[in-house]
Amino acid sequence: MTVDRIHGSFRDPSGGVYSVNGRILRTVTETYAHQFHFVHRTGLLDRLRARGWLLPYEFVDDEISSLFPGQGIEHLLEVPRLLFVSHPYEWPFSALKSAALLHLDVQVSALEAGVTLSDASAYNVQFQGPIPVFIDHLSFRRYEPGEIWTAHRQFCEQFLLPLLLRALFGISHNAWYRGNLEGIPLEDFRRLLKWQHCLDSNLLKHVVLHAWLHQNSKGLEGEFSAVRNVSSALPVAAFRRLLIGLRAWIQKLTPADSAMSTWQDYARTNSYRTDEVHIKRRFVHEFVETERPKHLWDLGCNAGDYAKVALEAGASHVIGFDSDQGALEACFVRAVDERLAIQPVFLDIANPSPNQGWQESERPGLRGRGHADAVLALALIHHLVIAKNIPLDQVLDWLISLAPLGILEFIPKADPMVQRLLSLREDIFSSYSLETCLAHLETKARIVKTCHLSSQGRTLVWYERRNQ
Amino acid sequence: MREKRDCLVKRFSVVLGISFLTLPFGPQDAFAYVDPGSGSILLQLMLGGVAGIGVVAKLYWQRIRDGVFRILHKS
Repeated sequence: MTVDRIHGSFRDPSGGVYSVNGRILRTVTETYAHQFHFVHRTGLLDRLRARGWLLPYEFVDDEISSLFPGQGIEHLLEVPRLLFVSHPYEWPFSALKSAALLHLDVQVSALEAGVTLSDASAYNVQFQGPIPVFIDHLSFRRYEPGEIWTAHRQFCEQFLLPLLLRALFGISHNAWYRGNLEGIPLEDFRRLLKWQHCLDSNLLKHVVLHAWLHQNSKGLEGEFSAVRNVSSALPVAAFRRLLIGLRAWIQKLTPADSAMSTWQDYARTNSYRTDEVHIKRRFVHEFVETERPKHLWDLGCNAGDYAKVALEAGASHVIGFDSDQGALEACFVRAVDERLAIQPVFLDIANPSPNQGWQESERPGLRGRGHADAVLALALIHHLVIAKNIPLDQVLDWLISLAPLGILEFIPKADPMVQRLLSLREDIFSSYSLETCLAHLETKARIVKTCHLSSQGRTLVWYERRNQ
Repeated sequence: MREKRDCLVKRFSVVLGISFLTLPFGPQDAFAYVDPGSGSILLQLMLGGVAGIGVVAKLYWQRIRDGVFRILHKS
């Protein structure tokens, strides 16, 4: 039996998260146990679980002696394995916003039970479809009346400022956040603001004044720890007001660049005829119905049209990847409105999330987070080959390595969409053809079925990876 | 009379300030592995009410006075 610690959990002194033969177990150390007992007795965790805000868990204490002997473990919790762990720098704006609102809701509910959260890490929120869920059962501890919100700065840097970057300036948070895993530093963000921003009381309070006080409190540290005399620094009513005020502000935030993006409007502006769309939908439906994949990755999901078809055909969960923020927003909103198990994730396929953080393993890259049962790569390959200059054989090898099954849609040079890509550049893609594509595919996979979609030669290919 | 009043205000501010500011370093520290940062503590003191604003003003009083003095001295 192998017990592997999940790397992202190493910072927490309260316990760790382990993968044991496919199961996910969370330890509660003896030093944190009194806090956990207190929180558990309040009934808060059960209430949060009942609302769907907290990942369910059950005690499996009888396995402590065999799995963690002599390690000072008081409790062992088993939690469901998430289908796909995503990072905040992969979330679209609306996903980060819903995660921020969930965090505040959990904190407000906790406060009512005399409990608080010890941190405000965005990594403590994960998604099931488009629905956020809090996953860290050990973040809760007893609230001491009048204590300050220790995680205020962390909340600002990991949730609020990345949202404001898009809401105020129309800049997506993903690249900056990926470069700085703890979010956007308060002092850096303040430098982006103009004096007019000080007219907004929320910005003035949570960003301008907050950052100014950080920068101008040097030399005062001595006075902070002079005497241990407990009083009321932040009365509970003021703490609650702070949380409710933040929630109301974040609820109203929208992207400054909310005009229609290229791909958000793709369903209306693409070059498909209605009958071709029907054929494509039928093909995807038949593929999923026949192969019965549970967990699909839709690469270049746009607004989730074909992810929805896959779900209707029997798939249980789809991760929809795209690099276009407008398309991801449309997909997210649709998934929420229609209650679809689609999780939209930001991904530049030519530059996917790498392994990073402590020892380059704290936040695993795309490949380190499991594989799909099947992939959909509809009208995707030409973007990688022609717009990004990635050789066709490399694109196909990568695609085949992701899942044992898949559908790819080949778009030939004659197609108007490819012509548009080639209109301002030299055609250096002499080997880009359906024949070359199929020939290379057949070296690694069996072609189950093909379907010609258009007179220009758009072709759907259903393939099955060969066992190497 | 004025001296007595100043002395009382000073004592009140110091006691209040120290007691407010030391709260975050209580027993919960063992599990508060996030560094709140001094700026957050000061901001929340201010958000906590009028007394907290007074405490923060008191902490910065020396700097404010020095700043005003520098400006007046220059002019």
